[in-house]
Amino acid sequence: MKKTFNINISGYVFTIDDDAYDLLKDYLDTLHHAFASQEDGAELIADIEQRMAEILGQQNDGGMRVITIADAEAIIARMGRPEEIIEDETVEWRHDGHEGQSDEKNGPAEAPPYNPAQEQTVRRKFFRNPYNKMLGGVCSGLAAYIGIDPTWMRLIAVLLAFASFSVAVIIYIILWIIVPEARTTLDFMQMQGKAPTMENIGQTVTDTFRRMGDTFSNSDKANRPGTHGSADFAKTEPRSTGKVMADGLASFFGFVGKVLLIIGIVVCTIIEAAFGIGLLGCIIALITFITPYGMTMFGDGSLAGEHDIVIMGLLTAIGYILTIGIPLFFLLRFMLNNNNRIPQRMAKGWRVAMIATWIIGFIMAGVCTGIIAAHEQRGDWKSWHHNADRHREVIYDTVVVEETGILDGESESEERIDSLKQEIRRNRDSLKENAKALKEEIKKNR
Amino acid sequence: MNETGINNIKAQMRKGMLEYCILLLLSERRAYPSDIIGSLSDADMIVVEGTLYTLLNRMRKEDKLAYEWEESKKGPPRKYYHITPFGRKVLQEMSAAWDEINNTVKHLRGSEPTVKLLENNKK
Repeated sequence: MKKTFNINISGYVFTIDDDAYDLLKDYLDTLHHAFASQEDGAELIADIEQRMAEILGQQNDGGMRVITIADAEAIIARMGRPEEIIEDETVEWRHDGHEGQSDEKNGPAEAPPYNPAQEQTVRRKFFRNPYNKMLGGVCSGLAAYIGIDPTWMRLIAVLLAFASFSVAVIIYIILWIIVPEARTTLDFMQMQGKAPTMENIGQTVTDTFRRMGDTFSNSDKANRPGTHGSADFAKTEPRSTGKVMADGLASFFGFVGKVLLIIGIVVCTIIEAAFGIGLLGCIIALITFITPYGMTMFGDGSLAGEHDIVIMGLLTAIGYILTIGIPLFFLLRFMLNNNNRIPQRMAKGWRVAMIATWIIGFIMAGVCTGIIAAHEQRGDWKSWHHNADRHREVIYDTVVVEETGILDGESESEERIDSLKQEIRRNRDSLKENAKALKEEIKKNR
Repeated sequence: MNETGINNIKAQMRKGMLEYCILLLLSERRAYPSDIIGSLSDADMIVVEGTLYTLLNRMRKEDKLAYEWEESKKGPPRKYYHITPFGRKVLQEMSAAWDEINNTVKHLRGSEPTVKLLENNKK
C-alpha cells in the first residue's frame, strides 16, 4: 500500500506514488537550479516538462495507472543521463580552468575532451550533511569537503575536543549554527565536489532519495508506509568500511552515548562561559586598579557607586544567563528537531541576532564582574584613598600658599608664611604616619 | 579499451552528427520536438531527450532554426521548428563536410576511390 498524489505536469494530470513524486520533484528542482542562470532556462525546463508529460501520458494508457518509482527513474534516464544536456554554456560548472582557454579560441566552440577525472575538480562547498550525522553533520560535511572518511574526521574532532580543552566543542557548535545544511541535490553535489552535469544530477537525485528512504524507514516507519520499497533498495547498497564502522560506533554508543555527549556539552558550555567571563572580569578589575583611567572609568566614577553595585550584580546575572542559556537553547532546539524527519533551520536573521546577543551577554557579564571585583577590593583601600586625597589637597595648599606668598609678598608677613609652611609639614608628617599605620593594619588584617 | 570508453566515443560521434541530422530533418518539413525525437528514433538515431532541447535552443540562438507556437488538439500548444535561410546554408556546408568524411572512411576501409581521385573527377 502506498500513498499517492495527483500532480499536474505541463497541464496533464497524473496520479503518482509518494516516493516517485519526491524523486521527480527533486530532479526538476535540480534542473531549475542548473538552468536558472540561463536567459531562457525557464522556457527550456517548460519544454522538458512538457515532453515528460507526453511520455508519461503515452505510458499511462487508460489513465488509471499510477506512476511508480521505476517509471520515474526510467524517465529520468531517458530525459537526461549524459552530461551534454547542460551544454557548453554552463562550462564554468564543469572545469575551473577551462573558461580562460575557451576565451582565447573565440567562444566555447571547442568542447574540452572527455575526461572523467577532470569532472571531479569542481570547487567543493562546505555543507553539513544531514544524512550522515552523529550530531549536526558538521564532521561528515567537513570530511566531504576535505575528501576523507567521516569516521576519521569524527575521531580527530573528539581528540581535538580533549586536546584543546573543549575549545573545539565551541567551534563545533559555532559551525553547527553557521554552516548551512545540504538540502537540495545541488547542495549535495557541491558538497561532494561533483559537477552538476546531467548524469551526476540523475545519480545524486537517486542516491539522496535512497538515503532519505533509509532514514525514513529507520526513524519513522509507522508514519510512512510508502517507503518500504526504497528502504529495501537502500539495504542492497554496498556499504563502505567507513560507513560500517560509523554505524557500529553509533549503535555502540547508542542512546546513552548521545545523552552523555549532550550532558558533556552542557557542562562544557557552562564551564567555558564561566571561565571566559571570569577571565574578562579579571582583566577589567586589573585595568580598574592599575590605570588611573580605569579608576575614573569603572572605579571612582559614578558607574560603581554604592547603589550601582546592585545594578551591576543584576547585569552580571543577565549576562551569565544569556551566555549559558543561548547555547543551551540551540541544543534543546536541536534535540527537539532531531525527532522530525526534516530538520528545521532558524531564519538567518534570528541566528545572527542570537549570536550577537550571546556576545553582548558575555561582554556584559565579564565587565560587570570585573567592576564588582574592583569595587570589593576597593573597600580595603578606601581609607587609604581618602588619606591620599587629603595629602594631595595639602600639597596643593602649600603650592598655593607659596605662590601667593611670592606674588603678594607685601600683604602677607614672612612669619605668617613660615608658620603656615610648618603647619603643612606637620600635617604631612602626621599623614605619613597615618598612612603607615593604616598599611600595617591592612597587612595584619590579611 | 573498456566498454564505457567505446560507448563514450559512440556518444561523441552521435553528438557531432545530431545537429546535422536535425537540419536535414527540418529541411524537408517543420516539426515539433516530440515529432523530431520520433523521426530520429525511426532513423535509428538514439538521443537523450534532454540534450535535444538544449541543442534546439542553441540552434535557435544561432539563427539556424526558428519556431512558432501552434495550437494542438491533444494538449498544450506546440513549438513548431523550421529551418532558416542561414540554417540552409549551414546545412549545405555540413553536407559537403559529411561527404568528405564519408569518402575518407570509405577509402580507408578500402572499398572506394580516394578523395583526391574524387576531386580530379569533379574537375
